[in-house]
Amino acid sequence: MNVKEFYAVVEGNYDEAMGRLLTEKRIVKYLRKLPETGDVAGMNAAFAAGNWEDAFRFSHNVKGVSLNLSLTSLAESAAELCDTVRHGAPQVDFKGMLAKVNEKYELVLKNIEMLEDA
Amino acid sequence: MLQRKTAVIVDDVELNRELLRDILDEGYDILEACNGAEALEVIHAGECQIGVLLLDLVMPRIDGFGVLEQLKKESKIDRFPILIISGEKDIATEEKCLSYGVTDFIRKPFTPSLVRHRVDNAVAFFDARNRLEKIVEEKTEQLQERNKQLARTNENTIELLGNVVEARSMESGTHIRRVKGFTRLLGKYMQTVYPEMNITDEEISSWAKASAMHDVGKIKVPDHILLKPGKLTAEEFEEIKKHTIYGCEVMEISRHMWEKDYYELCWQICRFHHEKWDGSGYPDGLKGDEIPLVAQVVAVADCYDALTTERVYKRAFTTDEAYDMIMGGKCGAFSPKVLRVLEICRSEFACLAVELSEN
Repeated sequence: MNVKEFYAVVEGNYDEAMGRLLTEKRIVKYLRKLPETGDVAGMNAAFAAGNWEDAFRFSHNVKGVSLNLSLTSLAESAAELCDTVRHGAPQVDFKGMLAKVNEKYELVLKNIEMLEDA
Repeated sequence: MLQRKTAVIVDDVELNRELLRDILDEGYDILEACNGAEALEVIHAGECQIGVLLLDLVMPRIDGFGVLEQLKKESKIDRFPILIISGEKDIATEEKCLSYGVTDFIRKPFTPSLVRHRVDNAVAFFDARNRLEKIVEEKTEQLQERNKQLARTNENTIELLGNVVEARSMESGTHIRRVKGFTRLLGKYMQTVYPEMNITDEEISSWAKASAMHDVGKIKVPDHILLKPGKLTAEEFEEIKKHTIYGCEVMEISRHMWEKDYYELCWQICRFHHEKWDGSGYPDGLKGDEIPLVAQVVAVADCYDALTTERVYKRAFTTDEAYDMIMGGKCGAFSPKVLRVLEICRSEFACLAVELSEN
């Protein structure tokens, strides 16, 4: 899978990523670092434990990294989840949002494995 | 060759740090911290070398605002440029950061080339500012040194003028130095005994320096009167009394050369150092606190020295005799506050009189 196809599958923004990061080689380098970040695991643990401060921080991190890599769909889902715990305990049912973030993240991870070298 | 600056990248996400590191690697030495507490450690360890701080906001242990708060508390927030790198979209967060004094607020997702430009611009701006501050600091130091030299020259000139007058009066040549010493001593005690007067160290120093001018008007008193060994006639004494007015006239000639407050001080001493508390003095017959404080002080200093030194018309009294004469009103009425101070520092005064005479 090439970089352009990757962004299409994960509902990211290839043009934006290229506009900012300039080369596919650089984009691939950063994408392959994504599985090393522990933010999604931290996010899931924090939500499960009701630790809202950490839940906010980890979901905020997922949002930030996704934005920088132009993983638009994942970033939007993470932003939505992040806002539920911005001021502590969530006032809305977050479970669906959490599942959505995990689903999109899994999709990204699966497709990163299939990425060709640029 | 320009020295490389250090960029401190603070973010709890390794990938974000790597992105920034790649942007700045060429041109900057990089230090990294993964939370606010680590950032503060890095800053405290290498503060002088830090060229720029890139700071995330949402972090464990101490967040970005915690770092800003601490730097503000330590007055270090403007030592180097701080650029916030955040995914926060709301204006309130950006406003809060800017109100701390950060240089810039960069939102994620950021464009590497723009981040690099912003960092370079911020660093260049701080460099220019620091260079200017250094120049201003150096110039200020030079100016202060020149002012000190000028003040020393002024003091020496005034003392020289007083000494010329003194030499003409055939006096010992040390009268001025002793009056200065007594004035300074009285001033120091006035400051302690009457804290409500808010007398500053600078004022005391000015009083002492300016006291050298007290008899400058004698330059205009004719020799046959000034140097007369015997008792003066009433007419001659009236002429002697005019030295207080003559002094002010002499000063008036060079008024444009004087600093305003210092001129005023010298003028008051010249004019009023023979005024008496009960209004019996000259030339204006001022009474009580109508007499400027500095003149009240110099009057006692001058009288004490006149009594304890030999003159063409009298022997030198001992320090005890001089003290008793002043306190007993034999030399006219002085300010009760200054007399109270003289009473407190009597022995120190006597020691100073001996010390200054011997020197």
